[in-house]
Parts: sequence; structure tokens; C-alpha cells
Amino acid sequence: MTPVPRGITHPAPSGEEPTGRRSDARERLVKAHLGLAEQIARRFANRGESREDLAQVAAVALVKAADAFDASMGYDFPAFATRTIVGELKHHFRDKGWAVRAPRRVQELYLEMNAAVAELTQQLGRSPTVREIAAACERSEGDILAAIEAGQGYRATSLDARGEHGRTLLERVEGTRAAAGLHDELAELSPHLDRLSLREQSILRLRFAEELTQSEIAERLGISQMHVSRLLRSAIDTLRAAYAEGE
Amino acid sequence: MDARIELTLPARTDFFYLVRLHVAAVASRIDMTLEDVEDLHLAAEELCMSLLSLSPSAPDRLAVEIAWDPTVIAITCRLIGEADLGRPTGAWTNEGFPELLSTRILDALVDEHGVTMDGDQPTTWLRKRRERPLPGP
Repeated sequence: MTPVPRGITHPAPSGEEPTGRRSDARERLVKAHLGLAEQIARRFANRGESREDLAQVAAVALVKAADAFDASMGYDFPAFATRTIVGELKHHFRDKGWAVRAPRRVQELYLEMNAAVAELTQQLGRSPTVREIAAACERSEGDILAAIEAGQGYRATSLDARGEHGRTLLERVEGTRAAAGLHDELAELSPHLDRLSLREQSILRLRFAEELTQSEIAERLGISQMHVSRLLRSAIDTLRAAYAEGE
Repeated sequence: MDARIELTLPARTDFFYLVRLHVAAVASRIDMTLEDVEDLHLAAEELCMSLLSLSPSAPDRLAVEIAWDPTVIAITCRLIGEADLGRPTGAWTNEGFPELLSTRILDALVDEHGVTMDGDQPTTWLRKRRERPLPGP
């Protein structure tokens, strides 16, 4: 892990300085705080966006923070950069993550809930109940139910995006499939499955032919159970649409 | 069953979220896990969709009953009336979606499911038991 410098002294990119010095100062700030940006991006992981995308958003936000930082205002750069990076990441999720627009309050609760579900699942060794999630988020069960429903509009991560091990989610799914020696029961059921993408076929096979639970699929693929739920819905919807068009 | 909710809604997919909401609320009341809630989301929609494919005519409305006791949720779905002008605009067509595939999906999501016929009118149903969460650490 890259050490995070805290409260380092740095020159302010004020208008008084020559351009070369400002550029150098900016570069030093960015280099010194890339670890901070990566740390913050990791805090937003497991919410349906690839780590690479999040790291890139955080890095761009860091550059913005370095551009905008003015030490004469009396702020500490790490604190200033953290606020900027967190703001940009939230903005990224709000703007890029939702196929169906949900109120900002609900979107943010959904993201908060995702993080709580991951933590509770780890603590409890099972999927948490709505009551447990509500207690962890200090919200009502009604709020959590609204967030779960809103999550249906959350866009699933591109399965073509490269993950932390350099493989796409699709490749991880296919690797799992090959390792498990999956039978093609679903394919026998329906020639129209061939009209689906490999990723959609794979998710359906894991859940409905192998009958893995959502949590088991999530563990195999290294994604959250809620993400698996969204992918399943998407696969079924796509399959149904393929049938409707094919008849 | 101790308690029940009855809904009637247009036979259109854009109203199925109402079924999801009520099913999730009931599942939450009996402390089902989030995973079970999300399985029930998919299953309830599949139940409604499969009913449309079994309908002998273009359905107008669906009647959905959600009944529960502390350990199990049961959902039944039946048709009400007929549309005068065929399927309403925006209604989901389930035509061609293989019944066997619907069956396979429901097999994986719930404990029991099936179809009962009253004359030529089908009713689809499912039951899902709560797996009591183990006490946490």
C-alpha cells in the first residue's frame, strides 16, 4: 500500500508564482497524494463499478484538487483533496451508475447500503436481513426497502471491464464455468439462449442450472451479492426480449 | 397463513414493481435475508410473467395475493377480466418464452411453485420458506 503523507508542507500554487514553479508544485502534490486517491477509491469498491474506473476518477479529482488548492486559505491539502475526491466519486456514481434516475438521497442510501451489506455479510457469515441493514445504516426498514427497489435501476458494471487480476468479469465467469464442467441443461431447454451474450448465458447457468446461490456466485466472481442480483435480472430481461423478438 | 395482502394491477410489466415492493416489505417483516428478498423479487416477477404466457386471451388485470406466516411467504397470481383491444400498449409479451425455462428459474428461487387451472383460467403460485438467520457473532 502506498503510504499516505498527511499534512505535508507544500508550496501554494498561487498566482504570484512563476508558471514553472506552479506546475512543479502541482506535480509534487499529485505524486505525493496518489496513494490517498487510491485509498479513497478503494473505499468505493464493491458498488458495481470497476476498481480501475474508480481509481481513474479519483486520480483526476486529485489533479483538480491540486489545481484548485490555495494554501493561503489555511486548508490542509490532504483534507481538501479528500473532500474533492469523495465528491467526484459520488458524482461519478450518481451520473454514471444509474440507468434509471433515482432521487439523489435514495442513490446515496443505496451506495451506503451496499457497503453495509458487504460488511455485515463478512461479520455474520450470511446475507443480512433488512432489519440488520437498517440498524447498521441507522435508517428505517422502509428506507432500506426503497433503496433496494431503487437499486433495480442501478447499472450493472460492464462485464468487459478489466478487474483487479487483469481479467474481465466475463473471463472470470467463463473460467468458473469451465472449471465446474457445467452442463448445458439450459441450452437444451432453449436454442434461443444462443442469442444471448456469453456473459448473460454464464450468469443464468450459474444460478439456474448449477443452482448456486447469489452469495456463492458473488464469492466465485469476486463481486457483491447485490451486483449478482442485478446481473441476473438483466440476463432474464435480455433473454425474455430475445424470445419476444424471435417469435 | 396469518396475514395477507391483495393487489390488483394492470397486466403490464411497468406495474410489476408494485408486486416487488410489497413482497420485499413482507419478506422484511418476517426477517428474511436480503438474498432471499432479492430472490423473491425475481420470482414474483417470473410468476406474473409466466401467468401472462398461460393466459388464453390478452389479460386486462392481475390479482396478486401475498400471504405469510412467521416462516413462509406464499404468492398467488391470477387474471381478472379481458382487454377489449388486445394487449394494452406497453404490456409485456411473454410469448415464446419457454415455460420450462420459467419453471427452471422458479425452481432455483423458491421452495415450491406451480400452476392450478380453474377451467381455462390459470393461477400461478409459489411458496418460499424463511431460512432462519443464524445468530451473528
